[in-house]
Amino acid sequence: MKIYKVKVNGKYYEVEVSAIDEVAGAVRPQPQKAENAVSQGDNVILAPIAGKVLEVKVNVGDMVKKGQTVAIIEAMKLENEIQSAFDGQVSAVNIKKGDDVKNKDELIVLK
Amino acid sequence: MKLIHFEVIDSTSTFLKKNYHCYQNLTFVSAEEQTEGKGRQDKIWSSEKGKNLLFSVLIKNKRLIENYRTISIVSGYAVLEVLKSYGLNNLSIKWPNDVYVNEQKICGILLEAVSTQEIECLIVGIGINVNQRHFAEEYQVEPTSVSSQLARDINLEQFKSAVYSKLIENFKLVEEGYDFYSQVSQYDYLRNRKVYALISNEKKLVKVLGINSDYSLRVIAENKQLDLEAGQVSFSL
Repeated sequence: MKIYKVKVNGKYYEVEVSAIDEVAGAVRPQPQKAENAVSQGDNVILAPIAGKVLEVKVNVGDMVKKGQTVAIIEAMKLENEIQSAFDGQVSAVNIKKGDDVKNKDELIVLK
Repeated sequence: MKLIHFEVIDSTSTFLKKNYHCYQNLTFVSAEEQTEGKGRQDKIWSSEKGKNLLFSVLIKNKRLIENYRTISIVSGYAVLEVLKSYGLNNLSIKWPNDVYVNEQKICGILLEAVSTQEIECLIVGIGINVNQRHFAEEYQVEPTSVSSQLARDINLEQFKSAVYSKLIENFKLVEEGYDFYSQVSQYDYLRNRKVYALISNEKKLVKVLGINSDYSLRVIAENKQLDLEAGQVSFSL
């Protein structure tokens, strides 16, 4: 917090000024949430390797159980079954059959 | 190392995918007959009951999993070495891992993995034609078998033991960081061949220069060199 002296209509006033993140409990403006963005508390299924999407096995709105296969990605003739590490409902599917994905790309979001 | 054998099963790889939590690294599962044996992208792998070596091996060792590209081609190379020790000639590896004798396929390999946030396990599914002499007519080029090549029946148990031992030996070398490239690249089936490759969803005629040291495939397409991954291309010869 800093104290500033300001002059208004010829009269001086002392004002205390705090940066917004110094104020306990202050609500900070949030950036506009993009479509398919991940919210706090969402669980994201990531690509464990780079490759091509062979199959997507879930749609938005589907309920998914931990251990359920949600997609298959192929690289170097390795067919990789991507299983969910979480229970939840699919809120976003960011891939489709034939897409190339990179390691750690966000494939599917569960809420 | 653990050995499991079934008389009949849907697929040895499917069994390991469902049960990998219960088994240790280097568990081998074989079967005399697979009712749903599969090749790449759900292609059917058919085999006469009791004639061939059909098995899958589970890999849970982290270092081997990290080296899945090497495991893929070194698995084919292990089969090639055993076939060579049986006296077969003109052997080659069709990138990334199928084994050929002359122009005929004798072994198919499919790697599968199960991942949650990272790869939990690899499953190497291997089918080797051993004592089968006749194959269905739908193949463009008829496959071959060890028995067809040598004109005698093969003791399947001894052959299985030789293949398992060579795989374990090669996987141990991969774990220790041994570089198989100079050996593997001598058996490159596709080198200098012209093949059709699907590049960015467009089918193009390319000339293969050979397998790279990172086990990608270098080709020339429209005067440009490209390095291709198996998952990004499909071939028709």
